[in-house]
This record gives sequence, structure tokens and C-alpha cells, in this order.
Amino acid sequence: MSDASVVMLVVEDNPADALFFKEAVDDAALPMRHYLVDNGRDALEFLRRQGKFADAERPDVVVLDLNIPLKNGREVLEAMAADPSLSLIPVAILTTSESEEDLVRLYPPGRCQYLVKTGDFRRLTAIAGRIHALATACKPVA
Amino acid sequence: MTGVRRPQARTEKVTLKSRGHVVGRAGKGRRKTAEAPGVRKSLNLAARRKKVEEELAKSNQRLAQVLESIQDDFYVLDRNWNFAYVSRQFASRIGKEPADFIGKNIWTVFPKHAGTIFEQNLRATMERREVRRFEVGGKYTNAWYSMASFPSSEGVTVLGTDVTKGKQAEESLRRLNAELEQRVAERTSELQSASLNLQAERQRFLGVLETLPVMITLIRPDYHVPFANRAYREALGEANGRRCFEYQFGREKPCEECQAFTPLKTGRPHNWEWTLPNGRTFDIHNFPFVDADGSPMILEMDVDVTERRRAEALVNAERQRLYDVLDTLAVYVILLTEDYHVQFANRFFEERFGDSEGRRCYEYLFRRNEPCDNCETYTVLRTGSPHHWYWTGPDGRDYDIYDFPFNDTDGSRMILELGIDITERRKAESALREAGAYNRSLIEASIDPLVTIGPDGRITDVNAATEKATGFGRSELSGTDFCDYFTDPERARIGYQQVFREGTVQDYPLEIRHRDGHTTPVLYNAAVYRHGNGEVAGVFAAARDVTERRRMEAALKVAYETLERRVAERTAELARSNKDLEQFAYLASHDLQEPLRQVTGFGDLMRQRYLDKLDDRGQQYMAFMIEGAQRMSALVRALLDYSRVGRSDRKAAPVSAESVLGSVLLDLRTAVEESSASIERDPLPMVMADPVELGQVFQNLIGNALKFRREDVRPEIHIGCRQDPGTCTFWVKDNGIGIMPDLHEKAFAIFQRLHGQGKYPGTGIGLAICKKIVERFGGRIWIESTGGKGSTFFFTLPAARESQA
Repeated sequence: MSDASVVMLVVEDNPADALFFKEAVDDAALPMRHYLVDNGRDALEFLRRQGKFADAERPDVVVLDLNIPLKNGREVLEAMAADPSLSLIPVAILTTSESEEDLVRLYPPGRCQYLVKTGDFRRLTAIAGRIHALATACKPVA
Repeated sequence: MTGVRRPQARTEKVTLKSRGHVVGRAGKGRRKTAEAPGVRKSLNLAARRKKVEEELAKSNQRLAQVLESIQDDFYVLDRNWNFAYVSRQFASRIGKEPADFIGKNIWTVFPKHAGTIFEQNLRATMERREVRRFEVGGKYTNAWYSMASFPSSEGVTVLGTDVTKGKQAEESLRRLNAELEQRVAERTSELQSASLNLQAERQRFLGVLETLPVMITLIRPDYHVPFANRAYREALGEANGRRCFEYQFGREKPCEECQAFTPLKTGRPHNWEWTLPNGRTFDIHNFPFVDADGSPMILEMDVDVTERRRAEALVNAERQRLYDVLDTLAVYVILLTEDYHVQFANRFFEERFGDSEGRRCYEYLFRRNEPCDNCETYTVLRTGSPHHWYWTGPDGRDYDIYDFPFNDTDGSRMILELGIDITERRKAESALREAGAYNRSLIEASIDPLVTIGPDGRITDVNAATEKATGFGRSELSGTDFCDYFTDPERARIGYQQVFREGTVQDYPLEIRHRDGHTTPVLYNAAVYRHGNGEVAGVFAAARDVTERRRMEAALKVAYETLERRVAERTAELARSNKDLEQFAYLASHDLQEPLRQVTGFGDLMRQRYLDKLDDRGQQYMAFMIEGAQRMSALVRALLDYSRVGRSDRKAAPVSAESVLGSVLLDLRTAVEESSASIERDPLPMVMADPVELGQVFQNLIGNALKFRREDVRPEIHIGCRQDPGTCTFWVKDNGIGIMPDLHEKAFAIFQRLHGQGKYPGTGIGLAICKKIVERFGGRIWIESTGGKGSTFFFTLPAARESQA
């Protein structure tokens, strides 16, 4: 795994969606790696390297489903926005709903994108490309 | 003094004579009685004067006699002043003999003469030979002598004449004369005073004449006017030597109509009336008059009777008016004499009954020979007081007759009769009575308690229903306080006072209390009624028993409230269930999306990666599976769109339909180009809506117009709008396949598709969404179309008001 690859934290409780997204990312053939958590609380612990995620790698982008257990996507986004050490990490909201686009305003400008899930594999591959672009654009110069 | 003044009046005889006509007999009488003493007094004075003159003559005569009877003193003195001769007369006067004096010195004999005028004169004669005449006498001697001394040869001759008596007479005459003079002076003064008084009286008299408001003048036969008092002058001007017709009327000849000189012909006073050209009328009295010099004159006295004549004319006019009034009256007025003659009848009477032509009333009215038996007119003559009765005339009509005793100006007794035709009134009264009875029967038949109240609140009349409602009889109710028959008397009082104040009340609720205690709820409708003169006579109040109505109202109210509550409950239920359904539809469609996407997503991935591993049948199965999942996904998405309408809670706001349509057409640009459709659009107004949702409506309708086009026909779409007050009606008109009228309603139902999926793909949700949006903003949507001839979709939206624009 080279340093040039983008590290994603995918927060998704539906294994089918998670697999479908992974296939799209793979199909896009971009240098991306990803970790998967299936609830909001784990997502925050991963980001803060707490508990079982003490050794977790800091991701370059968080791909966040909104409809997730324990802490929903909105709560995760608010917690990240409120934490200066996390608010630099860009977030791609990938959700079924088309009507919660306003959530991007909770987060610093330019670091949050709202993306709607699709059953069309080609379009999902394109979405994976946009997420890579977001992460690359926000990645600090090493 | 008055006694003195009167004789002087004789010289003013002319004036007095002229005055005689003015002041009348009294003046004449006074003049007669005044004349006699004046004459007597005047004669007295002349006689006296004559007497004085006679006395004077007698006195002179007596003096002559005295002189005759007296011999002068005569003596002669010699140069030595001794008496040479002494007359006997002289000596005897002294009581001596002449011889006693001879040879004696005079100054010795009369020593008293020494040094007197006597001695001076005698010495002057003696020494200077001068003749001297002088008088001697003394205050104490009472004797006077006229002396003369002449120089003579012997010496001096002295003549002495005793002039004592003459002196005395002279003195007496002088005194008499002085007395006379004084008396004459006194009398003259008296006469002057009398003259002044007379002048004053004359002045006063003239003043009276001047002041008199009657015009008085003297006219001479030659038409000159020697006298005219002020009233006359003021009326006719100043003569200034001109003749009456000249200065009064500016004429050159005497007036033809003038009668002033009639008394000259007849010798008697003449009275006539003359209206001058200036319109004033004079009552003129002319009297024969003789001037002081005996020339005939006319004394004229004029009274201006213009006003009186005018007043008389007014009286006459008044009288005429009275006659006119009498003639205009629609009643008859007659004067009947004691012997049944109609002395006066006004026009009404004459028109009704004709002229009596001298016949008696019963003769010509009823062709009878004697007075009518039923006539009551002449009772007035018996009783002397007015009488009122009814009479049926020969014309068969009824008359109201009023007879009054009447005394004619000559004192004869008459009857003044007034007759009023009351035939119609009788009929009217009869009709009124019948109507009254009819009305009364209606009132009594009314089931509503009816009552009339006087201004004092007391009952004046009731009907049977009131008796029934209160339990009191008519006579018991009448005159009692209206308010006593209600459970709330004060409210009843306020009610009828309101009627008196405002003229009426409607549906005023009260409760009548029956004497047995039970009550009747009523609604009062009341109004004032008035006397003929418009004055409020009382209140007419009608009560409507509302017991039944109250019960019905109460029941109705309960029913209504129940219904209201149920409707409210049901509405709330429906709203809730509607909300639940919408929530359900939303959540269902939302949650259905994920598994559907999972099916379509992996179906798609499987077709990409494993299609070549399936046989033809397997490939067909997979195609159907993916197509079904995609269609289901479209339906779920459509359902989601539909359930979302209104979920955003966006309120209606002023929206420019023009700009919304513009952005919709921009979105549809590709579709329009592909179908090479022509779009015609009118300018669109501001409306009350939500821009996104209005865009959805346009998008669906225009999209449909593009989609449902006829084959080989270029789509023509017209978007327009008509503005009515408060409302805008939009339309989207196409030349497409059209919709049969029986499907117009169905077209707006959700998931309702009118065509097979193969020919015109779609979910059938578009028009349902349009309907939901339009109705959400208070509008409506409909189709005008017949199959094959294009369709026009109309929808209305509220116009944006100016202030909201």
C-alpha cells in the first residue's frame, strides 16, 4: 500500500451496499484502500483511535451513510465538525435519501459532499471517482 | 283784562266771521255775548272826554263871570311913593276907605312888599318909565294878582287884578287835565295790551288752523286763494299769487269736475269727493263765506280720505273674499228668516238645491205648503242656542246640520245654517265599522297574545289569546301595568320603552306568567301606533309563543353540537390518517428503495460479469427480473415524489410564473429539440404558489404534451393564461393524441395510465402530482379534449396581490 493511495473509512451497516460500493471502487481501479464500520459509534472511535481502534490508521476521507445504528450519520457529522482534529477530514455523505442535502452545511465548506446511492453500477463507479478526487483535494501536503 | 280785550275784537269782525264757519255755533254765541259790553265801555270813554271838555268850557265861563264880577285894584302913586289915588274896590278889599291911603307912602302901608318882585317892578316903572306886567301872590295868601304898572305923569299907575279864582280854576283844570291825561294813558296802555292779547289770540287761532290736519282754505270766485292752512299748502303747494288750478294742477283753465263753487249758486254748504291725479282722495266741504268787505268767498275744508277709502276697499275686498270663501266651501251655508225664507245661500247650496226664487224653503225644496215635520232648524229660535242634527235633503243625501241663532245687522232674528254632506263619510264610517269588526275578529282569532300599551305602560286593549296566556280577563288586564305579567318585569319595561324610543322591537324575548304560575316563553314583536296627527298613541305588541320553538331549538342545538363534534372528530381522524398514510407512503417508498436498488444493482453487476455464463433462457429470465425491478423502482420513486408534495411545508408566496416556465423549458430543451416541437408562450403573471412545485406542474404538463404526440405530426404547444380578479387560469394546449372525455377524470388518479407501457412509458403519477399541487394552493385542474384533436390542460392559481408581488 503506497502512501499515494487514499484511505477511506466507509460507515455502512448494509453489507450488500458495502459490497456493491467496494466492487465499484475496485472497478474504478483507483489507488484506494478502505476500512468498514457498521455503526456511528464505531466510526467516531475509529477516527479518535479509541478502544479496539487504538491503532487505527487516520483516513483521508469518510464515506458516511446516514441511516446507521447507535449514532446516525448526522450525529457523526456534527461530532466531527465540533472536533478540530477531525473536521479537517473530508466527508462524502452517501445515502438513499435525496432530501437531506442541507447536512453539508454542518461541515466546513468544501470538505463535505452529498452523494445519492444508486443501483446503476456505472454511476456508482463514477461516484467512487468523485470521492477519490475529494480526498485528494483535501489531503494535506506531506 | 278779558273785559278790555273784547271791544277790540270788533275790528276783527271779518276774521271772526270766517271763523264762525269753522268753530260753529259755540263761536257765534260767544261773539254775540261779547259784543254788548264792549260798546258800552267805548261810549263811556267818549262821554267822559266830552264831559271834561264841557267842564273846561264851564270853568272858562265861570272865570269870565268872576272877572266880570271883579273890579280891578287900581291906584296911583306919586313920585314919592305916596298914594295919589286908590280905587274903592282896592280899599274895600283891604277893609278901608280910599281916603285912608291918600298921601301915605306905599312902603309904609305895605311894608311886606318892600324888596319883592312888586317893588322891583314898580321901581322899574318909576325910575326907568317902563311898563311892567307881573303877578304877585303867595303861598300863604292864597291870593293871586295879575299886576300891571304904567308910568304916569304923577308917578306910577298900578292896576291889580285878583286872579286868585282864575288861578284856582286854571289849577283845577290843569289837575283835571292831568288826571284825564293819566287816564287816557292808562286806557291806551290797556288798549295796547288788549290789542296784543287779541293778536296773540289771533295768532293762536291761526296756529290752530295751521296745525289742524284738515286742509282749510278760502277761495275767491276768481280762483285766488287768499288763505290756506299748512295742511292745505303741504298737500297742494304754495299759491304765491297764482290761481288754484294753476298752482295746484298746472292747468290753464279751471277744473271741469271742480264743485267748490256750488255754494255760490245754492247759498248752502256743499259736500263732495274728489280723487286728485296723484291718486289721493279728498272729502271736500265747501261753505258760502262773506269777506269783511262783503265779497263772496268759498271756505273749503278738505279731509284726506285716501286711507279710509282704501280701508273701505279692503273691507269690501275682505267681504268679497268672505263671500268667495263661502262660495268655495264644500258645505252649504244659508241664512233663514223667521218666515222660512232663504235670505242668503252660498254657491254650494244653490248648486245643490237651486234658487229659492222668493219661495219658502219647504215650498221649493219639498213642494210643501207648510214646514216639514222633521225639520229641527227652527228649534234654534225657541232655545236661542246652537243646534246640531242630521237631515236628508231632497237630493237623498245625508247632511250634518249646524244651526246657529243669528242677528242681522238690522236686528232681525235669523238662523245661520251649515250643512255638510256626510253621505260618503257615513258610507266610509259604515265600511270602517265593518272593517273594524273584521279586524277585531282577526285580532281575537289570533293565537298570538296581542296587547296595546299606552305611553304610561298601562294596557289599553288585549285579545283573547292574551287572556288565555295570563289567565286574567280583559277588564282585569285593562289599565294595569303591562310589566306585571312577566317573570322579568324590568326587562318587559325596558322592552316597551325601547319601542317608544325606537319605534319598534323585533323578537324581544320575555316570559309571560299565568296567574296559576306557569310561564310561556314568547318573542315580542312590537311597534308604535299613532293618532291621526302623528303623535304616538301607544304600542301594539304581538307575542309569539315559542315554547315549541325553544324545545326544537334546544334539540337542534344538541344535535348540531353533536354533529359538529363528530365532524371535528372525523376530520381530525381523517387528517391524522391522511398524515399517517402520507408518512407511510413516504417511508414505504423510501425504505423500498434500498432493497430495490440492491436487486437492480446486483442484477446489473451480474449481467455485466456473468451474462455469458447463462444460456438464452437464463438471460431472458434475468432481463425480466431487472426490468421488473427497475419498473418497481420507478413506481416507488413516483410514489415518493407524490407523497413529498406539501411535505416541505413551503407556504404559497408570490411567484413569477413567467420565470418558472422559463427554467422548465430550459430543462426540457433536449426533449423539445428531439421532438422538433414548436412552443408558443404568452407572458405569464405573478401567482401565489411554490416555485419548485409550480415548475413540477409545468414540467409534467409540457412533458405530457411532448410525449403524447401524434405520429408524423409536429408537436405544437401553447402555454397561456387568463387573468380574472383574484384568479389566474393557465393552460397548456397541444395538438397531440387527445383524451376521450370519459377518461378526463381518471387521468388525474394516481398510477392511472391510459396507454400501454410499451407505447407511452411512464408511472401514471404526473397528473396526480399536478392535481395535488394545484389543489394545495387552492386551485383546480381539468382537461378540455376530445380524442385525436389535441388536449388543453387548464389549472387555476390565486393571483398574487400587489402588496405581495
